[in-house]
Amino acid sequence: MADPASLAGVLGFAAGAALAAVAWSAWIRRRFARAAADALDPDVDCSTLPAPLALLVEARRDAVERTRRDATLGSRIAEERASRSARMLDALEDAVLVIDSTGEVMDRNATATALSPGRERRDPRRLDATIPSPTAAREILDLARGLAEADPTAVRRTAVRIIDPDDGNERDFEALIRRLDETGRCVVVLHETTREREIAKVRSEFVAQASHELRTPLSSIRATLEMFEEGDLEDPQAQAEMLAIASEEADRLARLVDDMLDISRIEAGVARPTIERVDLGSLAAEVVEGLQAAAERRDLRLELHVEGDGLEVEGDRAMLGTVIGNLVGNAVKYVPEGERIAVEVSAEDLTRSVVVTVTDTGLGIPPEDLPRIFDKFYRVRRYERRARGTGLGLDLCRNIVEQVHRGRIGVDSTLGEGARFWFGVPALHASSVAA
Amino acid sequence: MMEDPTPKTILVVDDEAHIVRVVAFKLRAAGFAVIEAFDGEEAWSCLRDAEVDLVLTDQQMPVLDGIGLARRIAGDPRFKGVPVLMLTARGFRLDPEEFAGSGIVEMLDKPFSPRVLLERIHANLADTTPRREAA
Repeated sequence: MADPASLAGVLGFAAGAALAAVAWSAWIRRRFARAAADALDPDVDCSTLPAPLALLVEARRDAVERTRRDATLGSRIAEERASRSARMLDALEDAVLVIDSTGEVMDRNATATALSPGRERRDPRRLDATIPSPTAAREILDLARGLAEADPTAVRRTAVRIIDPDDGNERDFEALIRRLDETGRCVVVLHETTREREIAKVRSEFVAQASHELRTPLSSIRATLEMFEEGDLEDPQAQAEMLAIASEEADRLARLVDDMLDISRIEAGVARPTIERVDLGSLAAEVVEGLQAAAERRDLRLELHVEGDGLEVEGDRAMLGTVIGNLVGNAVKYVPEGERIAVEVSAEDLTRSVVVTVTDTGLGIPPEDLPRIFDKFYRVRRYERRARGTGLGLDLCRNIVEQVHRGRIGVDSTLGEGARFWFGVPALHASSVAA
Repeated sequence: MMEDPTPKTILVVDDEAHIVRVVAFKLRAAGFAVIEAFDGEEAWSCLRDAEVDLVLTDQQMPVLDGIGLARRIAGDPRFKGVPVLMLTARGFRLDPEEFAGSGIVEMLDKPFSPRVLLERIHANLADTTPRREAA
């Protein structure tokens, strides 16, 4: 049996020790809690802490800092990605917008915003505020709703015309609608086709004009043939006159077809020029010699001035011959009888090119005609009665010089004092230009 | 009824000299008097200087085009009853409103048949009261 007194002493000690342990642990917990709180506050100096505790606090501080840095970096990366995507979308020429199943605009790029800058302020989330054409907006929404039932990869397309409410300008687009997710959101891409429409319009106008130009010489030829057939041309003089007209018009028709073909080949980039060394001085001499008889018939003085040697360029000889031939030929046709035409070939230091100029002392060109004189089928009205060309000669010249030879072509004129047509093609050797 | 010994006068207007020559040849051979003009403005002065029974004009011409010329003729009471025929190489038809306002009685296409052209001129002259009698 144990002594009751000593048992009470043991129990008392044990209780005291337990109390002391509880108090100590509470103190330790508070100390650690403060240390942990200190560890989060970088301003608190932890050098006064006991060494193991200071190490723990330092380690904790490092961990917190790392986490903070990682979070900042992560959010920066996410922001950067989002901003890059937005910049990428804004850089697109196509308008891109995301709409939900009710037609509300969730997101859009800068091009989409620019579709209706004025209306945007009213209600930017409305589809018909972004696409300022109620019909087009409704059609796009109908197509987008239809996609909810369709295959997820399905795409719907439609043509959309937007008329600017301020200036009435018409812009055409192809709208492409694709499902984005299961909630019925769709991405709408609007690709502008206005330029294509304009090109098609220009082409159609060209065909209409070309058809007019082709029918005109055909008329004289067909009429002459019928008159022959019906015995209207029994008188030899009348017969000769009508045949001469038909023959001239047949030549014109052939030239017209040739010019149209040459221009369309150059414009389409499928012309195959034979590039070789061409001396523009000797080429001009050949062309001038060929036209001398026609000039004499009209009592015109046709002169050639070739300044020095080394007037070589790299180009297509036949094409460059056509340019000189057209420019000199026009002068021979349109300049009044008794006047002078001077063809000059020289090197130009400034642009390092060989320049051919055709100067005449004729009627000159009215200032209003100068900007359009190289256009297809454009004719100077005051010259129309003098002679009829194909209306394509100068356009062909421009195409040959600018597209095939990377040169320049132009005209200067003062009404009543004649005209100066010129073109320049890069010289073969820059040194020969300076020489 | 005595036949009018004075030949009818046709004003032929086209900026294409060859077309004017060919048409004028056919019409003269058929007994018409022909006045030649090479743009609308020149035709307008011819109309004021001479007695014209019918005008045959092209559409696309410098200075004054065929429609412009036809409108002037239609708007001037001095030329009441003078039919205007248009000979044009344009690939499209005038819209009905433009056609109605111009006073053009008939459109003919280029390339044309001189025989058909002559027939149409005869038909249109027969349809109208001669101007000299109306005046």
